[in-house]
Amino acid sequence: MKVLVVNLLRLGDVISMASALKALRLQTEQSAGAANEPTEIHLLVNRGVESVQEILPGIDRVHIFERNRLQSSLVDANRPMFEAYDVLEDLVESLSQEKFDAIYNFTHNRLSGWLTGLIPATKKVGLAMDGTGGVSFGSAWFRHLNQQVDFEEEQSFHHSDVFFAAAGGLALQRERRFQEAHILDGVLRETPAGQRRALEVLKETGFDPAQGGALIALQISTSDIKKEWGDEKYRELVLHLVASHPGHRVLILGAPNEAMRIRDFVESFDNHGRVKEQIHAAIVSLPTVVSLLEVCHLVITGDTSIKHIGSASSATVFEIAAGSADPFRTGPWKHGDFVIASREACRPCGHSEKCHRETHACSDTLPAVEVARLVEALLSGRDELARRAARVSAFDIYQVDRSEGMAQLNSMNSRSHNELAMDRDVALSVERSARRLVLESRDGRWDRMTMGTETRLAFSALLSKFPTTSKVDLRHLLGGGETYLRHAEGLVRSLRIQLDRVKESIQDPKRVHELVSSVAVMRSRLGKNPWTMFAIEPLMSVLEDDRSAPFTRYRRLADTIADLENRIEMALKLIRGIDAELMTEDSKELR
Amino acid sequence: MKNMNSMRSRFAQPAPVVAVPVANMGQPTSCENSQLELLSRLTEASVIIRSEAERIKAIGVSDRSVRLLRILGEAIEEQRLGFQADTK
Repeated sequence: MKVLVVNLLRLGDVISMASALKALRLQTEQSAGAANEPTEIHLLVNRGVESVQEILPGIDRVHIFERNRLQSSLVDANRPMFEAYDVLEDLVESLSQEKFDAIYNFTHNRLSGWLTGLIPATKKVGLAMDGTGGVSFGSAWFRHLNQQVDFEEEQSFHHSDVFFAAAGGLALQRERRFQEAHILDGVLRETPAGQRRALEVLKETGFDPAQGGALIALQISTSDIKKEWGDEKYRELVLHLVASHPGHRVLILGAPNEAMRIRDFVESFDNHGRVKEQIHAAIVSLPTVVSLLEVCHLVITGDTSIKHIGSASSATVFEIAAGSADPFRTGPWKHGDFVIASREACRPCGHSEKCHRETHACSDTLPAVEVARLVEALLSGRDELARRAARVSAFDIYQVDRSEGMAQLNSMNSRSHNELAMDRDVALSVERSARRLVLESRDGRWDRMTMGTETRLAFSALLSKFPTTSKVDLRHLLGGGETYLRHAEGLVRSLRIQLDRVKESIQDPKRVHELVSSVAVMRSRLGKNPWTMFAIEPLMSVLEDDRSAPFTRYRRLADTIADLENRIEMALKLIRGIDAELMTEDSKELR
Repeated sequence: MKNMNSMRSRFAQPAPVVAVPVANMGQPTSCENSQLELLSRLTEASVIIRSEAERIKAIGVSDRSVRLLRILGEAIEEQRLGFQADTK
């Protein structure tokens, strides 16, 4: 079986799909093994990113998309008019001749959609566009990824988890063989050369675990100045850290093209006496970073590829999210990683937008002293960090929780973390769990026989999200949610009945108008309550579609109603199951 | 619009020799030089346009070609939005 994986984004985005690649490899080997066929996984990436093959296991061949060459030749009057066209055509032709069985498009933009549509394959997962611009997703997860662009960040699934799920990772995760050895272990590969160089770097630092200090990696640069926290603040953070323990060693990471900046940063500590012995430049390659982070205790970084390598390693990741960094969708994804982010309303800004503020507010509102205290608390222990985080009010602090098998950011210092949970917070948590199960079910990968297990996972996720809310209060909130959802269930059923009646007369504008009015009324009623707010977006997309033919609109509405019925049913099952778990816990405590 | 004067195309043919009436056996004036240059550029351009027009025409009728052009259009749009395939 031959599979092509397309990822035409930046290095960090390619690394963040490592878990999906592992799932894909396991699924492919399973299918091919049953049919006694060899398997091959090919990767299509931008020129400049191909070195990622060294650290991604299981890639048999890398194809290059000559993005820079295409872009430069199109705008350069001195280059042949058809150079870009010919380069692209040659690429499409060579990929077509590979005769792939499946293509997975983990890029999810129009360029990749058109490209995926052009390359023949029996199965295509991810965005693919045909000659008329018609779109297919090949998976409920990718269809959902397309929709969640409009979601609030807290409602969104992490992109690496969407890819992981679409590649069958969630289903594999439920298998017995991954109960002990977690499926996310070993998603990146160490190389002998990388390990050797990492050992040399470690030796240069003089780090001695017996002294009790920590080995901390620091990534100060990012691909976009908007995402940078700032060298001055990093300098202050480093000084705090090395002063807090003589055994700490700080590695300032950088790629070869960043060598000058990194050396200048390290040399800026020359006048600080002996502390400079605790700070070292580490200008290293990707394989060396993978090996280094396996022995580091902590990696502090902005939104970079180092963050994703850190999430795949045993080091705890501490992301300082600024600018366009979106921790909910593309943040660290390992259980127990951390993110801090400003509460400025303009964050996260668009990737391509220039900052419109007079100052870099999203970075300035993350003071170095406060960040240093948090990191020191983290190095002392997670309980100490929790205590310190609860006292921070200037910015948000999140911890990654994977209780349900997907990354979720739990706030460590929001109102709902420190006080009673509110209706909206619990509703959001239950809705996320229900949505995950509905999407897995639509992809044909979830067996309802495991509802008990999923309920327990959702229960664990709820408890870790609201640690200070009593079980009695949670049961009360869930009870209220059940009432609202049952009411919504009735409303949706009545809409279905009306839809069935209109079926024979959908060409009648008056009938359609009545139906659309009913949908608008339902949207308005369901939108008022946090337990049923998830219905707004799908109903809005039906209401806003006034261009499609009546039959198409009818089909869309029928599909939307079926989707809402599934989601409400799933949410009700989860609520009842979680309530039962809470009752069981209460009974245990009373004994 | 591309600068036809400096365009190098793999379809470009050498410009034909242009006959110039010999009214003056001395050095050409600057005006005549300009005219000669313009004529040469126009001739080269017309050859390029003629050959590439045939290719453009062929591309225009092919679904595959249109889709390839769409990809190129998206690549330009991404460049306009500042996307760079960097290594960070």
